Amino acid sequence: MSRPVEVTEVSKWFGQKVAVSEVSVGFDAGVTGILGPNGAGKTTLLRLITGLQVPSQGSVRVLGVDPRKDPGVYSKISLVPEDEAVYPTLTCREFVELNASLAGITKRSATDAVLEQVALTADAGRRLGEFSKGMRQRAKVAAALVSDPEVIVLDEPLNGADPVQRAHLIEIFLDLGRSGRTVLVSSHVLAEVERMAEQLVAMVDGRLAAEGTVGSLRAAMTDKPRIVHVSSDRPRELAARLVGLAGIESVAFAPDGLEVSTTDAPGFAVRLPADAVAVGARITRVVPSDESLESVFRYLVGSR
Amino acid sequence: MTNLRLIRHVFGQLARGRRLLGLTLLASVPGLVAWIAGSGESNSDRLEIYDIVISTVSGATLSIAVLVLGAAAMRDERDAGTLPFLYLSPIPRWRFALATWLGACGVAILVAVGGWLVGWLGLGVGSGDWGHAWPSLPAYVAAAIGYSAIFIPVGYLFSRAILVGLAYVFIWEGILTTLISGIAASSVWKTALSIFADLRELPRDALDALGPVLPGAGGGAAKLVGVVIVSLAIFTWALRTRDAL
Repeated sequence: MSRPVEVTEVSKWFGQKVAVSEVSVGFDAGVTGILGPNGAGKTTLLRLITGLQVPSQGSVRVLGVDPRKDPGVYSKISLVPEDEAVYPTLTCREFVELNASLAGITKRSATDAVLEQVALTADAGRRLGEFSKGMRQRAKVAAALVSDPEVIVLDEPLNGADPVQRAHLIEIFLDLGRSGRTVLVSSHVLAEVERMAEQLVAMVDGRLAAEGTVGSLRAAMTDKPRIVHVSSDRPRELAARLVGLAGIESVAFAPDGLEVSTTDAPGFAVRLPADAVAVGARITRVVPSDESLESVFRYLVGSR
Repeated sequence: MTNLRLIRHVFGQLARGRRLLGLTLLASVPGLVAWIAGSGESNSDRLEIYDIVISTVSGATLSIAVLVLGAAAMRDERDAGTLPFLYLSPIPRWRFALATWLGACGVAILVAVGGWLVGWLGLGVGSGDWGHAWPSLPAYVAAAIGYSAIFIPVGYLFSRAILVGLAYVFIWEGILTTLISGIAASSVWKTALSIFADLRELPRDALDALGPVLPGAGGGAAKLVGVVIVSLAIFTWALRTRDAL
């Protein structure tokens, strides 16, 4: 069974500039975050997936077909583009209805439902030109959802949204993922992706840098030492015991314990209790301090 | 239904007040020129001046007015970043192309008819002959149909669509189809004019604008259909194979 979205050996160049280089990646149901700094090729990848741009080489298949060759599949694909442009003279309702009717949806209830979903019912009669950036983003999300698509592509969808709107939109995206839709969300704001996505695809300089969960990506980076925070009542004695042991790169004091850099995290986890007992130290907490998405991403970008 | 919505959308986006007014004014320039040039002349001279001015000047003004409209149909959407909303519709690309053209063509015809009305009014008021201008109306409409079909793919394919369109108007239509008789029939304005010349016996100065193209409403209409089909085929190809953004 093929995956809902499959990108195979895709490259895209504009003259001499390579925007996406030999990317092969698949996307399953659920929310997948596409992560990368500005200029990494995220938007180009999403445009290639939606058929807005043609691959210079390689192939894209969405729900088993190439959208360029079979535009009928667009009844199951929606995009929230990065550009904040909308039709300023249309009201929010007209805009959503335009997208609905272009997708072949004629029921007014579909428009009402998505306007309700993005909390724009009260403002549905206002022109989009009068909307704030965050409201325009929500209008675009409503327009994307009105056709009840199976694949939803969101390019920086939280741009301009205030914290309350962001939380609301993130909840919508998570619900879509939980209901079996394939949701692709690009962002350069790591904390947002961390809240939304179970799966990650990291892009750097147009190439696929990594894919998987945050944990699996971090675990795959075996050449990088792991930073572990150890809370203890006797940090000095414990530090003295750990320094110099095989697999320990460095030990630094932290406010309530130690920051231990180790190249052998599993081995360290096994031996730490015995070392603590040996120096009479009580350990209250052991947590990896560099498994956040930001750390993973910093490693990925830094390794290029 | 979906196609109708796209036609309405394209029509609505292009038929904006100020743009529509400005382009209609441009399209009415030949009528105004004929009106002014004919004032003080005898009635028969007025009618002849009308025929000559419409035959020689309208090609340029109409083509530029429709170029601005036709090129904007997709170029404005691309530049504004709103094209994805249209492009990601489950409409076969040839129907997408057809619907876009129908929407833009409707506005182009409005502009052309508006321009023609000014000339008709001027001639009618000046000469009292309210029937003389009617045969030029099909030529105006034909030009709007042909040029809108040509300039929509130009707007989609070229970021400097107006420049490319002006090159087409002045180099291809203005010079090459006049100098090279073998390609004269590809000129939209000459085709439109051949319809006018078939419906009205034109003075010699006006017929010069036709070049080697023979008057003929039926042949002109058939050529126009050919221009539209080829242009829509190119637009469909572009939608399928070229980047939309």
